[in-house]
Amino acid sequence: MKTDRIITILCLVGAIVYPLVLRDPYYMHMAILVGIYVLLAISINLLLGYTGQLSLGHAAFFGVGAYVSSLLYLNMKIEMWGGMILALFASGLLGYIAAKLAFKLRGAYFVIMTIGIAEVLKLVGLNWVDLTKGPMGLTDIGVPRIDLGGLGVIDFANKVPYYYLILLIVLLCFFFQYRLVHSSFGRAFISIRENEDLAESVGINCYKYLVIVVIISASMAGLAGALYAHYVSFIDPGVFGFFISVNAVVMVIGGGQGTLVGPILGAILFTLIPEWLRFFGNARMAVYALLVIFIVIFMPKGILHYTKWLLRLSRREANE
Amino acid sequence: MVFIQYVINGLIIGGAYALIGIGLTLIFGIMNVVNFAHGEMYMLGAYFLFTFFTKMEINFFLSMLLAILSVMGIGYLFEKGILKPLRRKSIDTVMLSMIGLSLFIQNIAMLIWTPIPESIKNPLPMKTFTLGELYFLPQRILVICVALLLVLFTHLLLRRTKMGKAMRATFQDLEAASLMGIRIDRIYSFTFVLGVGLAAAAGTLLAPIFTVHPYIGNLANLKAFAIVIIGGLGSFSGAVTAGLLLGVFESLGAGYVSSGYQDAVGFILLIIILIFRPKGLFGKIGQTR
Repeated sequence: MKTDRIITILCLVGAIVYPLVLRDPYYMHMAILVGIYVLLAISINLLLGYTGQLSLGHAAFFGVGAYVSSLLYLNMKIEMWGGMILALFASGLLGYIAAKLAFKLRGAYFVIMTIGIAEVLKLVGLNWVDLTKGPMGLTDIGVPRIDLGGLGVIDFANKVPYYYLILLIVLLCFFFQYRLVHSSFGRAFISIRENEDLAESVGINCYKYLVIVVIISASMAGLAGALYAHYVSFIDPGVFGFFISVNAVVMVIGGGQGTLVGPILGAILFTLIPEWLRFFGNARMAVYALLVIFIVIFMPKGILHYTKWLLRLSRREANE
Repeated sequence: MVFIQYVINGLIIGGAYALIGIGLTLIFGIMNVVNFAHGEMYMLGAYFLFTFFTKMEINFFLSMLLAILSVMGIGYLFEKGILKPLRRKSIDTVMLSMIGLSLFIQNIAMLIWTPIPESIKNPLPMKTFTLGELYFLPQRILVICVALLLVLFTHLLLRRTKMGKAMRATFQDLEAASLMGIRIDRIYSFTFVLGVGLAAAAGTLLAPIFTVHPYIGNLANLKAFAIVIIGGLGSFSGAVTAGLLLGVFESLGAGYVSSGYQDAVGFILLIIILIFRPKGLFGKIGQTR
């Protein structure tokens, strides 16, 4: 327990001083992307890790968040702060509708339904040209500036302030996740994952809890989408892409589903691995696919599980 | 008259959809595997046809047969190499592995055939013949004829042969079937190879009508899933009906609403079906898998 706390504090300090040590724009860029993916991974982890429902359509919520916030900024001049909150509500609402529909079914049916929702939204994004500009995408999505009077200006167009903004939101979401899974809600979620029939028989309204967890998860994914849109300042219907959903699920499984830290670890690794694989040139994605298969088959408990196991092993050796 | 023309065009494409759909529903129903690489088998069928027919200039029908057999061979290797070791794993694990596999096949196809879309020159004469005010292209007539023949062939195989009986028994009750001396491993391999063969056949049929590129499998996959759910799990007649229906609705949607949303039709149908009949058109109440 004590070592856990030390590691947490070390990581937090590391994350705070990171921009001071590595000022290189590329590393800042990677760190911001990691942050956005951590949000997406936490949102999937709530659903997959704690209630055991696999969604391969989280790009739907991510994309809706991105489009809502961008459109509000471009058409109604609403700054990112308002856009983020409305994106949260919009994707939460979509999550509610999607859950109401999809949870009539479980297992493979549910998975296919989630993919379907994302694909329909992608087609809407491609074809509703008046609103979304279709495949051309939306450009010039701006970020806010905060004028601190005499103390200067915080311009979020710079990478370092944006990094701290994302770090703050990630910490809030992490804390929220922590509180949620340790509440009675969290226990209900886990009971659904372990045995839905049994949970139902002791009086847990599984359908209700599943809808709630999807709303929370979708809102968080929408928030990540909004942050992504304002960061890259350009989005196209690719934000609804299947690969975004798959990649985020692989992060959660690779890191360790149903754990608090796993998704963070997974998001860091699986944002960096595709970069490292550039070494393979055109075969990069094929190698990545093999890696996905390998992780799903041989490391279903995620990297966190094996790091813990290694730690325990080394500790035992040290004791002997 | 335009309406009837749309319906007929829809039925023709729907025939190919039905082939993809029954392949997937057999694999899903019997093996309990959500084959995310199904669309990739469709794509490989199209590309093998391109290689044999356009590049190597082999006779069209022979190329079709060779393409389907090659994909069946690849399917056999995947079944033995990947699915067999995963037999005891959860359905989610298998599903994600198949997604990895589909990504892998897509990218390998991109390396072999490049991402540039290819078109296969029409093997049959382009001359349309008319029936009243309706127009028919020979290639499209070939699609529906071959599709119906293959559906009939699969139907007879399931109903009239010993293998088909064993497959149906495995679908009903895996353990009882295996206790009766049915070799489950063999049934699984056969089912998978048959299923991907049907997807490849659809690929070879539609390739001369549409263009061929490494990502055509994605849409084929989604449509196949929609068909399987609309038709009801593991339901053969459901998959055929849903495939034809999907073809017709897409054609009508493209004709009367907007061609951009053509590919969304399947999922809109799916949502409507889920609201009113969650087990699919032909699904039996109580099936929960």
